[in-house]
Amino acid sequence: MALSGLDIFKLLPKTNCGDCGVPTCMAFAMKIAQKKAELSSCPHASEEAKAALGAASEPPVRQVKIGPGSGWEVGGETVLFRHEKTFFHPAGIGLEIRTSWSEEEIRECVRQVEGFQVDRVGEVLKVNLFFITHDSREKSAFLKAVSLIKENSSKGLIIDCPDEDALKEGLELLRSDRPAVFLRRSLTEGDIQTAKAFGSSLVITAASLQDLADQAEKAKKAGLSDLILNSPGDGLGAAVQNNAILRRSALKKGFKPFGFPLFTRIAGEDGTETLAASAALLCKYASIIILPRFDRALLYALFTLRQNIYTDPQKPIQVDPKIYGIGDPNPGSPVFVTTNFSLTYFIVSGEIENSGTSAHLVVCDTEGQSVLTAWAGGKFVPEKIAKFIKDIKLEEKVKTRKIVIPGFVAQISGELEEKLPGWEVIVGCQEAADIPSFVKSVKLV
Amino acid sequence: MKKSVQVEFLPFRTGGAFARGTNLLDAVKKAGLPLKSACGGKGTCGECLVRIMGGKVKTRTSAALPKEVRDLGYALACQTEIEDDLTVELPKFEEQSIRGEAGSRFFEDNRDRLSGVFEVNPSVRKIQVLVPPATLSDNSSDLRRLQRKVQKEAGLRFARVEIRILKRMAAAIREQAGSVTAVLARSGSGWTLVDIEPFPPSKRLCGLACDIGTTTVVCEIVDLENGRVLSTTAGFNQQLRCGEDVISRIEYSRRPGRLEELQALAVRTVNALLEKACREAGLSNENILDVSLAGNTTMTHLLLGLDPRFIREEPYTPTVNIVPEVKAADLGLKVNAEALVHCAPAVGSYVGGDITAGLLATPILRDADKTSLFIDAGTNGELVVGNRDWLATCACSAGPAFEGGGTKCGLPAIEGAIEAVRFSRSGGLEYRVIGGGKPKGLCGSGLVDLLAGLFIQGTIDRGGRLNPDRAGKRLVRNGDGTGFLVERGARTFWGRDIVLTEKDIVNLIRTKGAVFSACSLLLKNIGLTFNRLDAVYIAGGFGQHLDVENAIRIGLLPDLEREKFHYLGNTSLGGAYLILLSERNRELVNAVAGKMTYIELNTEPGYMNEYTGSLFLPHTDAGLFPSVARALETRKGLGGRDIS
Repeated sequence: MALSGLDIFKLLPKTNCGDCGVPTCMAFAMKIAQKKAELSSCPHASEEAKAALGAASEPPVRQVKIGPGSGWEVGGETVLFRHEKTFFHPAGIGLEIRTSWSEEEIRECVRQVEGFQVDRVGEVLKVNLFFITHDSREKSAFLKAVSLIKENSSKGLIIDCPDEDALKEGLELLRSDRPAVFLRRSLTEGDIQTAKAFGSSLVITAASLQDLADQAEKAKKAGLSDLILNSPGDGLGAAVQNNAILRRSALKKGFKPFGFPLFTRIAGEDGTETLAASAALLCKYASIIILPRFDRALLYALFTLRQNIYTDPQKPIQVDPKIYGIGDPNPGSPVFVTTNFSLTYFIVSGEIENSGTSAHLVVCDTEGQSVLTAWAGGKFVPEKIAKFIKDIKLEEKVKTRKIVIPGFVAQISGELEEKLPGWEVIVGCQEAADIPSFVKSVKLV
Repeated sequence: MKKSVQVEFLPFRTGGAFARGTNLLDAVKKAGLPLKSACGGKGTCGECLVRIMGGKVKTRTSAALPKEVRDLGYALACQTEIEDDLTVELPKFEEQSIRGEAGSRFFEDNRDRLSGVFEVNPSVRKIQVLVPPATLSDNSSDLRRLQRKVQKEAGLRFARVEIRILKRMAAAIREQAGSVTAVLARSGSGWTLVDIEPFPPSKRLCGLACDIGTTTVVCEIVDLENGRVLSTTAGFNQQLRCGEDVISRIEYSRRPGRLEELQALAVRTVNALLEKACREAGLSNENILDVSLAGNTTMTHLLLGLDPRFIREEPYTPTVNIVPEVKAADLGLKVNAEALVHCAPAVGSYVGGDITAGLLATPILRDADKTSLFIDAGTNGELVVGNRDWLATCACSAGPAFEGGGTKCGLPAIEGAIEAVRFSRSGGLEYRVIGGGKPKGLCGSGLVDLLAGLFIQGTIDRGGRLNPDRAGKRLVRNGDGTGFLVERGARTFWGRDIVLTEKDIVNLIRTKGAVFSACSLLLKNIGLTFNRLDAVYIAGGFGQHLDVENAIRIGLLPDLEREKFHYLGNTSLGGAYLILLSERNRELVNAVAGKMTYIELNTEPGYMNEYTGSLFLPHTDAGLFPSVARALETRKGLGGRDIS
């Protein structure tokens, strides 16, 4: 269970000595609670504090990495709902490959997956994992599939291979690639040994939640901590419900055996059903989702949903500072100036559009702050606005020599004119909603 | 006839020479005073209201100003031409009278529970001694004999002596056969002899406690021999003409010469109030031997003449938090030349000495096992949570909506402001006006009552929109949009309708949202929830007439047991007084500043989230306000507070 700032403060020396680099013990405690500092920075911490914090600083949901290099990290979540803070590690989306397929079919699937990526709001979205189901009788087919994927892709592998010899040989091929082993049956001593020997993580499967807890406990006792839980139960309803129980127990009750990422494999032929099931589970805590086949439309929808869920809601979303054309502006159109907080931008540009006027909207860099906040923080002030207008060479791009500034910063108009010789500064309305009536009442060019 | 005439503007006591026939609004603007005019001088908005206190003007009648008001000397500046020498008052900045009887008695009633101690132990002392005459067997110097005697009588050693005093020493000691009063002041670790008088002393030993607010300044003269307050005066900060909020003043100070101007205005404000207070107490400025100031970080910087620029810019660092002692005379304060100024320490850019001093006037630091929240809500709200062991603080920019700014019908809590509103069961609206006359508008507490009443009735929805059916005859639609008619023009002071518009409602919701979300984020950072709070202390003029029930209904205050809320009055002044009274309090306030953990909401990623959640009545998460949900269900809250 995560400790609050106040809980941690009670364990600290309370001397406010500042030796940790933070002014007060409470500030330091809050940093530890937010995982922005470690107790070791405090030279005066007692042994008791170290012991208590050590146990508490273990994350409520373990973070597990699959795949070579930087790999794909899942888990590490601290809240049940995105709006409480943020979700940190986007679910890994994987494609299933069966060893019963022909080599050509396998190559084709890998090729399609490798060739598919989506560029969306500045982020590149891709498939992250492959899942190998060994359903052929031939060991060679399994090894062939493993090496084929290894040669043609750098994505992480999760392996479902009931043939233990084949599995070990396959893992030998993936020694430094941090694969995960999927278990169809209950965890055995042998599985634990194999996982330890090859440095792989384990996806454990159980008949019931109790069974799952027992197996996780067993693995932990044996010193294995990179576990992934395959939630028990048949059908989408049960899967969603169990995922919710697992995650809630880990976060709210501090129940350690369930403090791991969650695994889901989607089966079925119907595209719509597959999409519905994967979307529902993406929303409800699946850390890994394995899809039965490559389907662009399905992947695109899932990528979008995943990006939305895993975007940090606490960060103000910014738009690029530059000149935006609203409507169909020409060099003679009026010029409005505002900040680059995305909401500000969308509201202002929307209202200019509503007004039926085409205009240039100069969006200054205010680090994503709104007009008054940026003004108060010295980020939307005459020198910075003037510098930006010079930097973007506005005078070469428009004919007018008038700019409209937001009414809330009327007081900067005089100084802005001084800093922008040759320009006239018009004080606009305070609320964007009044732009349509404002453009009618004032001569803007 | 002279061509140029003199115009003086009150309460700023500034002005200048203007050509006869000059438009008064132009003159106000030339004088650099913050009088607004929304209609651009057409005489329709009524915002550029002035009162002609003396002199001759020519004024056009305007529909915005009824005759009876004109008869009181009021005029619209834009419709007025200067005829002769004038004295003009800007009523918006009218001298505020201190409404002592309505103030809080918390300070008086809880002396034993406050964090600061009530003991007379000031850093200037008067010691009566009988200096033995020098003899041939003890031919120690005059100074040495005085030092010995002072140490024997009062246990104080002083090494430093002002040269001025030294020059008078020989005569002073001999004049009354050695019976003298020595006045010692502590500076740093030692004591200095700052005055020597024959016995009985002709001067009283007094100090000045001063709360320097961005808007209002309050001075209190305290008898340092018994701790009694001799007189209190209050008035507007004359810096108001340079901007109404701290950011505007920081911005103003950036041009050459402006910082000096702001410093001089601050000193002039204090000197004027001080002089009035001295007059009322029958004292001379010379009697003031110690000064204790509490102000926010920007006000403290400006008073000392320090550049406030970096307060506002990331990473928000003031020049000083703990201010070293300075001589009052060096600042230009008209008190005894030897008096020192003690400024209450700041914690950060937006949590200043008004808050650290204010904490002394609360019980928070007395408790180790209770946790309390302290809210000093004004245009800038400051919050502190904690107890004796720990304190965390943050500032939030609430905006002036509850202080009369940002709303069409808003006023500061001055005469003529509606300070309480209630809806009767039949749907009628009753209100109480400060001073009992016709209403001019609503002050913060009145706005809170009105908003809460309209919300509980269902006249406005959770998002602040008016329901036309429920508003019925009181629904107004005009150039300002949709609004709720509070009082018809025929019955108001200005003869204009008092209307709460939907825009006003949005502004009020933003303000209450800023305060509540800052409280909730502060607690979250510590790992606390509202129900773990044992008490909520509210300070500042805003809280004075606030109805807690209604403040909870609109989601301004958390939904806690009502008896947990206490109104404390002007804690900044209370703290300044305590610091003046005892050196122990001064040590305490410095220690408190050192242990407060300052949270910068500007850089807190969760703030936007919390804030957006608070932009509803009472909140997006209705579960945070169970009592409001109950009131909405039963609609039983219609009776509201007793305003009789």
